[in-house]
Amino acid sequence: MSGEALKQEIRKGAEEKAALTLTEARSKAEQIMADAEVQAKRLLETRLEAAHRRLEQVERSEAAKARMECTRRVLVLQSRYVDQAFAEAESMLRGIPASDQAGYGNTLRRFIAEAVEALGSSTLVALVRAPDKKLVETVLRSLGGDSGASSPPPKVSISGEPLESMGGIVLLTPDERSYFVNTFESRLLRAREELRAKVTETLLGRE
Amino acid sequence: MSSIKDLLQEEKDAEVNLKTAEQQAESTLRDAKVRAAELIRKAQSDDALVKELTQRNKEKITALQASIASECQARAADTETRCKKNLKAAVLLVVNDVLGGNNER
Repeated sequence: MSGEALKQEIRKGAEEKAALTLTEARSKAEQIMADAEVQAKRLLETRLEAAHRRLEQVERSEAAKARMECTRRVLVLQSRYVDQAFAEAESMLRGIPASDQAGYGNTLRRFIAEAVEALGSSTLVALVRAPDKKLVETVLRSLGGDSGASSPPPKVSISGEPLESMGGIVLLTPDERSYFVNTFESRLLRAREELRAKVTETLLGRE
Repeated sequence: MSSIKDLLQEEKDAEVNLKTAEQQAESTLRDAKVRAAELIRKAQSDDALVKELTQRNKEKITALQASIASECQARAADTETRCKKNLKAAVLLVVNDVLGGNNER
């Protein structure tokens, strides 16, 4: 081989090696970038998925809060009408003794019969409102006649102490150990506890 | 005719060229690594998409809240209408219960 050929051989070998080195480096660089792009894409997807989940949670929570607030508002409204129904019922009951004597007499008859049966004593004392005294006396006189019970009717005396009430009666045994409060107030109190759901249903027209 | 000296010079030039190529290769790789690191750092810290998502979610929530509030308004109005209409019946229910006989005490 001539000297010139040898020189060319050296140059060519060096050029090829340099080209190969650069090609390999570019290829590695491309791979590094491709890997980085994949990793960056995955990272971004993971972050977005996490953000999406978090925001969905926020959305559900906010919607639930808004719905709860709505339910609370409607319940407050319902409750206001239930209270109004009881207030108006109380007002109506307060007027009954004066406005409907016959009806009130029948009511007293039922109240007394109920109390007598519950107490089961042969002698009782009745606490009545001052304006109801005559009406109660009439009811008591007729009590034995329409009871239909085999046992004789109890002897009921009217206490001199007047009952402060909207209406109704209180019966007690002479020793005052047992008593039965059957007044509008006591029955209304029980109705407030037991009838609230039914009143709500009636107000909403679901009955 | 090339002398030995020429050949040695050629050899030396080739070495220099190769060294330069190697340096270029190293530089290319270094640049790639820097750009890759930058790409990953950006993916870790770029909040633009998350911010956009958050903004869209806020708008969605606002619309949802408005829709629920509107439904609620209608529900409250319906409740009010029903209650007003049935108030008398509810009052009579209570009055009749209080006046009624055979109540469990």
